[in-house]
Amino acid sequence: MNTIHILLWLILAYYITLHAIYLLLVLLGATQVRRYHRGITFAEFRRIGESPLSMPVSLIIPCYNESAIIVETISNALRLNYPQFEVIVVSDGSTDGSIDILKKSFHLRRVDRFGRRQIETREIQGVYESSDHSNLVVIEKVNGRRADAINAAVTLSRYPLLCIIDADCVLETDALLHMARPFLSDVSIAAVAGIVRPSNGLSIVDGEILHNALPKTLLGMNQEVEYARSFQWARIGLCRLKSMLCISGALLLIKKTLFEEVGGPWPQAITDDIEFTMRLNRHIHDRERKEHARLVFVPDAVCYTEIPEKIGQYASQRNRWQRGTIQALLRNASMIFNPRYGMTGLFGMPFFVVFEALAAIVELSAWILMVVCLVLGIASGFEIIAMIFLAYILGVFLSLTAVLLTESTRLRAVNWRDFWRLILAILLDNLGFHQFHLIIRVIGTFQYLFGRKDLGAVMSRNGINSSLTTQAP
Amino acid sequence: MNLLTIVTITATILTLLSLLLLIFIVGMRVFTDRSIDHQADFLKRAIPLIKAYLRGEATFEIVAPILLKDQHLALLILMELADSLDEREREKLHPLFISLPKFRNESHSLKSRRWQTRLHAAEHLGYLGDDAALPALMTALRDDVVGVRFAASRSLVQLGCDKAVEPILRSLDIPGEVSQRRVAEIISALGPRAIDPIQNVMNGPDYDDSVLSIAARIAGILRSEKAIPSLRHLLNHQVANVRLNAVRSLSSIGDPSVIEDIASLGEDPSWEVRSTVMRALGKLHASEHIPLLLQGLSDQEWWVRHNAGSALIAIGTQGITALKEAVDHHTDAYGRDMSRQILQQNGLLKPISEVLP
Repeated sequence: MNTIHILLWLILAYYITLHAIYLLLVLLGATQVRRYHRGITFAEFRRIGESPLSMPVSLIIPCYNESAIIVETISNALRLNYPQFEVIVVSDGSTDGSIDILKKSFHLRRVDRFGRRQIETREIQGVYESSDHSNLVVIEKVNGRRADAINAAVTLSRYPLLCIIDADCVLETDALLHMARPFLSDVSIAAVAGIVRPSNGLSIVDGEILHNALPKTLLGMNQEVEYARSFQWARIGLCRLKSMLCISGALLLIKKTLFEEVGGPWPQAITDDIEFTMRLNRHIHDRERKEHARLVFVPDAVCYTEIPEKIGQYASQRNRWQRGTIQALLRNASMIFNPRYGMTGLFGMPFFVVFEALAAIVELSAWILMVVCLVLGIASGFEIIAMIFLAYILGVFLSLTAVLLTESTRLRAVNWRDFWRLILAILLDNLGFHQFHLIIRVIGTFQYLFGRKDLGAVMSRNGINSSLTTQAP
Repeated sequence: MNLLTIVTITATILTLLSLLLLIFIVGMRVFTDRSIDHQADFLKRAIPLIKAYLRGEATFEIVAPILLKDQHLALLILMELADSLDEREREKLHPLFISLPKFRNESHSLKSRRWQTRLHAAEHLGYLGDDAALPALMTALRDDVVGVRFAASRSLVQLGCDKAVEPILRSLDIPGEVSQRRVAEIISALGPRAIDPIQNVMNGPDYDDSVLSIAARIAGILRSEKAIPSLRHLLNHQVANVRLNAVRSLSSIGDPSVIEDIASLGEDPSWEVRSTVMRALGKLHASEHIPLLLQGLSDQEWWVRHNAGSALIAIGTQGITALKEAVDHHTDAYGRDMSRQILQQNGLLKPISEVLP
């Protein structure tokens, strides 16, 4: 057996292991969801919603040049069903007139507000409160990236729970109720993550979701499948194994005390959410820390976020995610195989390195190797096609499993047309789209190693989707 | 076995599995669609019928057979309706609740090995149960799963069992502010019937601090003037959380005779207590304690300063005047900042940027 054959065996083993682990994670996620739903009692959420004693929440929305969508996002946030919450919007040095739009839309008036300064941030230039909404605060500050904006908002926040979302996020009306529930039943809960789904097919009027549909483009549909498979079901499984090392910045609810203990997100991070989640895991799973704390994933708190439907924007986003993943892993490398962090150190971090950060390099190497084999005559055309087909069908099977689970929830495709479009997207995913994704991630890896630390191009917004209609608040 | 054989066999198996999976998903979708239609039909039929039954326009014999067609959904509808009705109206639903055979043995289900079964049984008994269910629910207060204990407590309260107050407090003596809030909320749903048992706990000798805290809190939620002497006594308790809840409840009851007692905790070592004291003084319009509130504006803790400022606003003209003076003349910079912030929040002062040329 020559070296190339050994490599082919290794790659085959890697592929099968990767998909087998993901399949197990998805199935584990499914058992968790079932357990979660069976543990919910009747009218539980209504009680939380009606109780003046429910823990109040500070909802933080950092934004940079988001004038196209920020009014809709805030309108949606203000409509949330929760007994007591404040919305803190941070314009992080926006240059597109966001502040003027907000002043006009929400009748903001300037105030001198001084908070408990726990984490140092860039200069706050102004604080505004709304005459129409007593629970809306807007902060204008010098640009310092998303993490710095979040830290500034925390400084001025008043409540013990912090909910952090992105500027393009639309939350389901009851999302906060669902996310707050674990905090009420278990004192050891440190933070809660929810489901993030593409918003590109939603119809929203005045901040309220009226109709749920899937994205219109093939690129959008592919991401829909990816979000369900990797960001939804697998993450619930990872959470069960204390290995959820990436909580999307689009939806996180965390205790303020813990947020401050961890020191908030790192402003220099390329993807502050991944880096912060790793540090959070490091903090709460440290066996030398006496207090027991947990991260949980709530499968019925849903946040919709705009996904890129133009190839250039998609490439830029994924390139940034890859660089951010590597940066976060290198910054927290001491956790890898470190028994001090329990399951997180022994499984979560190595899994993240081998099957997330390095996955693109291994997969792309496999494709190159197959071409080399074919050119050098080491493998026959039939052998290569068989290998490619195996890679293809592994992906299809895993995605179908995710669809099966999604179909058993209220997040199922709303009609048959969307359902079949989803199946079509699964069948087409591995026929070029996936390979393009791999190339972007490999480029991102090398760019990071050669020193690229910027955030990439800012994604232009479509105002969530074309069917969005907003009335003046 | 060579590589190609393994790859071919694996790919073939996965292809077949994927096809089967797809067929299964389609079948499940069809089934789910039908189930959703069935539920919609059932709701459309059952809800007006139950409402007619409540108005006396439909008899039990007409309604009960309809409910048997989907007992789980029927139970949910009945619970939803029961929650929206007053006690007398709710009584009328009881025959319908007990007409559902699937839920007749819920007391027995409380002994199930599966905690979810026990949880739902404990919850259902609040609606389905009568006095006969009380012993089983009281036993459930000793369940290993906190959620089951909470559900049993809620059901006992729903059944009006005031004897359960003390056992509930002991059973849910779990650490954490949030848990204590939930327990207080559950017991206070008993209304005035909870007052005597709560008094007994506050005056009792052998209760944990957390139990005392919750009891004090409930007295405030129920605004029980009868509890004032006991709450006053708890102001001197060694545990900060007990003092805090006593202050909070005394201010909720709103008797001005307690102002001096509350103000005596203005320099309490715990900032949470000081913060609650400031808020309480505002709530009680304690204008004689404006100096203490002005002092609170320079407290080292932000919340104490904030609540002191808000309390001055709540007091009215005298407090606002004192706060306006504090903007320029308070000896402490934090005090001046907080005065300005509070006045601006209430639209009583323009921000510096607007005042300066």
